[in-house]
Formats: sequence, structure tokens, C-alpha cells
Amino acid sequence: MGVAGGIDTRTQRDGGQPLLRGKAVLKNYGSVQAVRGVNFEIAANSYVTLLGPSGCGKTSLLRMIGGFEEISSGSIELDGLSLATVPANRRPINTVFQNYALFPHLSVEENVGFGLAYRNLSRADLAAKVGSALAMVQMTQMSKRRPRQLSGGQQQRVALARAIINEPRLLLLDEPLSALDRRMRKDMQIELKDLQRRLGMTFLHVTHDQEEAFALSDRIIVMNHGLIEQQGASSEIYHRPASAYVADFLGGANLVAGTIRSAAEGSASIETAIGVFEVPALEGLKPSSRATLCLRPELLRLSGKDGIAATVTHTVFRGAYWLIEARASNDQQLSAVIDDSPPNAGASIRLTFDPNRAWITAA
Amino acid sequence: MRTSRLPLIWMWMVYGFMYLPVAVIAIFAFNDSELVAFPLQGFTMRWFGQVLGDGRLTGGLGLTFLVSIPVALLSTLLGAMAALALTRYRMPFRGLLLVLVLLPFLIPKVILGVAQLILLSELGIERSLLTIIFGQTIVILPFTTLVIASVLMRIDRRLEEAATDLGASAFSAFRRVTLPLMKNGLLAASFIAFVLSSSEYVLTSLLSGRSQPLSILVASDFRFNMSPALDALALMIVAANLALIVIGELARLRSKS
Amino acid sequence: METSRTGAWLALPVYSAVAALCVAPLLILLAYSFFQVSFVEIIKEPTLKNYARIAGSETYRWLILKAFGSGLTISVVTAIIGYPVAWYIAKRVTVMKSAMLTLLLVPLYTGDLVRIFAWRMLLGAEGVLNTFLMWTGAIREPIEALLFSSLATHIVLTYNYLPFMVLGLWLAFEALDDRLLEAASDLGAGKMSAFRRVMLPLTVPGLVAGGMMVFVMVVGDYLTPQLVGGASGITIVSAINDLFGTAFDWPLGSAIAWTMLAILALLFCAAALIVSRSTLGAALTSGEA
Repeated sequence: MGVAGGIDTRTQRDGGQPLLRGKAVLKNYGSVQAVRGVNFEIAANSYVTLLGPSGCGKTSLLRMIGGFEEISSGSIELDGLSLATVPANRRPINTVFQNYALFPHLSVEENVGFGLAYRNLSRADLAAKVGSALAMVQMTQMSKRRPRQLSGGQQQRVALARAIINEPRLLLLDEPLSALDRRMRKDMQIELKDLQRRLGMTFLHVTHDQEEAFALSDRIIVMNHGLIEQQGASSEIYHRPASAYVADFLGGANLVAGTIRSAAEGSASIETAIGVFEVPALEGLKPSSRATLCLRPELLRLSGKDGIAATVTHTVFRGAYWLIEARASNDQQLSAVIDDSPPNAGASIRLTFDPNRAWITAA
Repeated sequence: MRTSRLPLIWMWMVYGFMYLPVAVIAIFAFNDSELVAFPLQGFTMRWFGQVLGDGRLTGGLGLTFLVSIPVALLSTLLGAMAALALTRYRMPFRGLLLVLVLLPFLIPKVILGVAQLILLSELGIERSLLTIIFGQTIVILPFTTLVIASVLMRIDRRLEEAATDLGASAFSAFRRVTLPLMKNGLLAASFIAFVLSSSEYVLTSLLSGRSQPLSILVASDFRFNMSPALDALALMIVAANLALIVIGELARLRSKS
Repeated sequence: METSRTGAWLALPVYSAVAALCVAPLLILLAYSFFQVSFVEIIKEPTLKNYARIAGSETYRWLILKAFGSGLTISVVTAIIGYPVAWYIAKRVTVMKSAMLTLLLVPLYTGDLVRIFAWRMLLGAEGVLNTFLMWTGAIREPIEALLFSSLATHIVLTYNYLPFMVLGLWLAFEALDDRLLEAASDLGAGKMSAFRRVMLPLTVPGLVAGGMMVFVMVVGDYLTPQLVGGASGITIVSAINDLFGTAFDWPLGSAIAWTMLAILALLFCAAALIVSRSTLGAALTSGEA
């Protein structure tokens, strides 16, 4: 399944070395391998998301970068220098913890100023820095309160202020929005993205929510079973998933199993139960190997006479659009998105798509 | 769900049973009669005066402090170390440490006491206040360890990681985050240790030499006699102990929220 | 790694203290159990005579049996009394949960002697209970058998150790998910059946843990039987105490002590096996609750 250890080896856009680079990073807990030797690169000044289901190793990887777990083998480099001998408290990396980990016995401003105690600042400088960090997250009014007197969203802001006040080279965010309700989560996504742009800081954000990943990231690293399935720009991950797993995890895509008939540069022909299609494809697929055709629901259109024959099983009103679930030959499930006047359940329909926007990936 | 009143009545009966002896002590300490018996004869404070005028008892009380304060400090310190090792650090043989810390609680005190007695005689060590202190510390260690561990288990480990993340060394993270958060647990543990130490009889009687703390001095009185003055003394001991325990518990419960 | 070294440094003084003040004394005690006494001198030549004497003596066998009988009786009695209490605190009390538990444990901190003194005042022939009943006219003559009887011993032992049983059971009830009982009744189980098939099996670790605590403390308690039990108050532990005091036969006392320890250890291993197989045990030993 997939291509282990980073399919994406293209050079960074700015040509320089990446801010963070992982080489064959591996983590064992006893006999369990949480992270199974991954390579990755994170460019300076970007918003990167580490995306995967729970238990995929993303949190272990984040904790190794933060210095809370030792690496079993491999290395992680920051600005080309290995972090192996640098303890967590000496790394220019700060973390926004899941559930925030605010110190309950300290006020908001004491929480935010916690790390400055290790930097020999004058009292005035310290107060000024805390003030501007709190202003940055609009929490100036709350500076004397204790964490338990704050709402979830407010605690989130304090945790952010506390982590950015030391001006880290890299900010790690461990499922920072998971404790918030849906509305608050949307607002905070916008603020996080905005904050990252204003600060010009590099954010590495762990989440299991693909919607959140697309809303925030310049680049996404998709993990599964301790391996990196794919890393690349968000649009690339979305439109050109490197494996059926990635396509499935990102959600919604119709996945049609098939066999490669012939492969050319950048495209291939695939034979499936619902037809033969020649569309753009992942590099390196061999003829007669198993592969998967990915058809996003928004790609499928109702057509008059030709196309894939299918029977509508049900239709779901989604507010802005209708989602149609249909069954094609060989019980292949297909879903399509249309704007209005959906066919009834049981109706026979035909579906077509723009071949240039479909994609063939590994099985 | 249908709720029956039966469990509530049962609760009241059990709690009543648990506080019956305490209530009896409290009532008869103020009863104006030489006899500890119904009917009650009116209110008096004279039994307390009689106890406080007894120089032998006040001397014994002084010795109790000399023993129980060091025991409280020592067993809290060791208990804190054990609790930190058990809950905070990945270490080999954690199960062994847990078993060893709880071991003194599982050994009948008389057996542990006579065993310590043999060791002392083998080593040629005279029994003294010091032997009482060490002997008591080890039987109180399980209690302090569990009290402190119960507080530590409720402190999110990510708080210490957050401190480290913000630049704190392991020691600094302990001093600025863990210690303030476990402070109330330490307080509660030391109070409980003091109370257990001051009322410990079995081990103390085996290990005490010529200097005898209060619990030993009054032992023969409490064992074989019965008088309102003794009752007044019992009430004072109970009141002091309960006050310390309640203060300690309040501190411990506050640290949870 | 760094953190495990810190852990080891923290554990070192604790290991040393337990080794010096608990393990070493018990080992010396074991060594003494193989010695012999001649007049007032202890002869340090290994022999099994002490153990042979215990095995051959009807009195000691009877006292050992009686100690374990008492332990079992009190365990069962406290379990029956404590089970509803633990259930109530875990499942019916919300805000005051910690306070209720504390309130139950507080009477224990009065100290052994004061507690026994209070019970003697209560149960004595001219004590509080008798005079109260006579005063109210419920009885004419005082009930002599209240104090200095096996009954009195068992009442006070139950009083002393009930809170420990409740504590063990409460932990098990806290770990018990209410939805399991709802699921049972959803599947057609009546109240008794849900109790027998779901609640009881899932609280067995609590019963075992609480029962073991009560058992070992009852076996080791010699003050209570001695002071409120009257003629019935002789126990195996008081025999050990006497052998180290007036009777001066340390080797025999040591042998009896180790016989008791060995039996207790066996029971403990069995109990630990039962508890560790449950989820509660796993939660307790993993250190993260």
C-alpha cells in the first residue's frame, strides 16, 4: 500500500534547505512500531499539517520533534543540525498542547510569561512582551484570570500566546482545535492561518480532520500505520492522491478498482467493471498491475445518453447541493453532486466526467 | 430509574455506627458524674481541668511531638519520592517499588515490630526515640505514598512537558509546576502521618525504651481503666486528630479541582 | 535516558528505607526461627524444632486456624455491610463524593487505643449501652455478655476495618460503567439477574482487594481481641507478642510469625492474580488513571 517514506522529493520552492528534515525516523514502544522510518521535509514559513487517523503515528512524530520522545533510530534536523542531543527545553520549538496544558496555578499572564524566565529579561521587557503576545490573541482583558475561569476558545488563545512568545523557529500544534465546538473551530482556523502569516512562523499542525487540514495548510503530510503515505501541496494531495488510502481518507471520492492496461508518461489506461478509461495517472504504474480510479463526486455529471449506466439508490439534500448515491455494474457505488432537480430513487441514469480531472492511483 | 429509600437508610445506619464511639466520647466528657453511664447528670468542664493538671501527661505530649513531627516530615519526604518515581518517571521495576512500598502495610504490625526488635538487638542498638521514629516511618510510608500519588495522578503530565517546552529544565519544571500543584498533597500526607504516628501504639510500645510518648503512657489507663477524666483526654486526642485530618483532606480535595 | 535516571535516584532512598526497616528485620526474623533458646540464651544453630513444635501443638494450630477464621468472618461481614455503601457513594453521590469517603475514614484516625476505650465504655456491663437500655426501660438487668465476649471482638473488628472494605469496593464501582447495567436490563435482565450476571462479577476485584486488606489487618490485630474479647481474646499474634515479652522464646515466636507470613503471602499471591487480571488492576499499576 502506498509509497513509504515520502514520494515527494522535489526541491523546495525557494531552493534553500528545509527548516526541518526527518531522515528514516523510527519509533518503537516495546515491540510496537509507532513510526516506521519516515522521511519528511518542512519548509520555513509554511503551514504544514500532519494528517492521519488516530493511532497512525502522527502524535508520536510530533512528540519526537518537540523532544518529548526519544527517536529509536533515524534523525531529525533543524536548519541542517541534528536535534538528537538537544533536550526539549533547549529546542527553538514550542508546542500548543492538546487540551492546552495551561498551568492551573498561574494566571493568564504568568502562563504566557512562563518561558521568558529563562531568558534574562528586565521586568519591563518581560511585561511588554507578555502584553504584546496577549494583544496578538486579543486576550489583554483576561490577563489576571486563572485558566479555569476561561472558555475553551480563550484557553486556546492563551496556549497560543504562551507558545509564540518565545519566537520559536517552529510551532507545533497537537490537535489544537479538537476540544472546541464546530463554530468556534471554524473561527479559530481562520485566526490560526492569519497568525501564521503575520508572524512569518512555521506551523506544524497535527489533526485527524481532513477538512481542517485543507482549510489551513500550504502542505499536507498524510500518515497511516506509522508511514507517510504522501506529502505535498494541499491541492496536489486532493487531486492527485498517491494511494487509494489517501484518496479514501480525504473522503468522498469514488474509488473504482481496476487493472492497468497501458501506461504512458503522466497518464494510463485502466480497465474497471464500469468501463475502460484513459486519464492522468500516478508515475510508475506498471501494465497489468492493480490500480484505483479516483472520481470525485463533483466531477461526475448526469448525461443524456452515453456514460456509465447506474441506478439511483438514494438522494440526500445537503443544503447547497444534492448528493446522489447510485449503483453501477458489478455493484460499484458511485456518488455524484448536482445542483438541483435530482432523479428519484430507482431511476436509471448515466454519468460522465471530464477525463482530464480524474486520477489513477495505486491500489 | 426508580429510586428506593432503602440504600439511603442503610447509609445512615452505617455512618451512625461509624460515629457512635466518637459521639459517646464527646457526650460523656462533659457529663457531671464519676460514672460513665446513663442517665446524664448535667454539664461540666472539670474533667478537662483534671487532665490538663496532670504533669505526667503533658510531658508525654511533649515527647509525642518530638517523635511525630520528625516521622511526619520523613515519611512525607520518602512518600513524595516514592510517589514521584511511581507516577512520573519511566523506570525499570516500577511494580517492585510499588510492592515494596506497600509491604509494611501488609505485614501485621506486631510481626514487623518484633522483627525490628531482633534487628536492633543484633546490631546492639539501644531503644530510643530514634528507633521509634524510624520504625513508625516505615509503617506510615504506604499511607503518605498513596495520598501523594493520588494527587500526582491527577496532575496532567503535559503540564510538565509544557514547562519543558517553554525552556524549563527538569528541575525547574518540577519547582515551578509540579511542586506547587502537589503542595496540598504534601500537606495532607504530613498531617495524616502526624496523626497516625501520635496514635500508633503497637509498634511504639515494642520500640520505645525509657522515654515513653503519650500513647504509651496512657495505654495502660486506656486499656484497663474507665473514668470521665480519661474520656476527656480521649476527646481531646480525637478532636486534635480529626481537626488535622479534616484540614489535610480539605487541602487535598482542593488540589483536585 | 534522563527521566528514568531521575526516577531511579528518587526510588533509591525508598528502596534503602524499606530494605533496612522492613526487609532486613523480616530476614533476621526468619533466621531466628531456626534458632533455639536454652534458659535465657539463644543458641544460633539451625534447627527445624520450632516449626515441628508448631505443627505438633494443638493450641498453636487452633490459634492459627482461629486467626484465619476471624479474618474470613470479618471480611464477609464487612463485604455485606459495605457493598451497598460503596455502591451508593460511587453511583448515587455526585458532588460530595470525596467528602463522603473522607467522612467514612475519619473515625479511623482516632487511634487504636482511644477507639477501643470508646467501645469498652459503650459495651461495658455498667456501660453506656446497658445503662441506656435500662434507663429507657427496655431491659431490667444489664446484658453481661456485651463486653468481653467473642461478639464484642467481632463488632469492634467490623467497626475497625469496614472502611477499608468500602474503599476497595468503591474503586471497583467507580470503574464500573453504568451503561453495562443499562445494557443488561435492556437485554431483559431483571434487577437480581443484572446484579448477579453483571455487577457482581465486575466488582469481584474490589471484593478481593477489600477482603484481602481486611483479612490481613484482622489477622494482625491483637489489641482488639485482648481488650474487648475477655477470655476469648487470646490470639496467635498475642502469643507472638508474649513469646517476645514475658515468655522470652524469640525463636519460637519468630517461627510462628513466619508461618503466618508464609500463609498470608500465599493468599496474597492468589488475590493479586485475581485483581491483576481485571481492568482495575491494570489501571492501578500502569500509574495513569
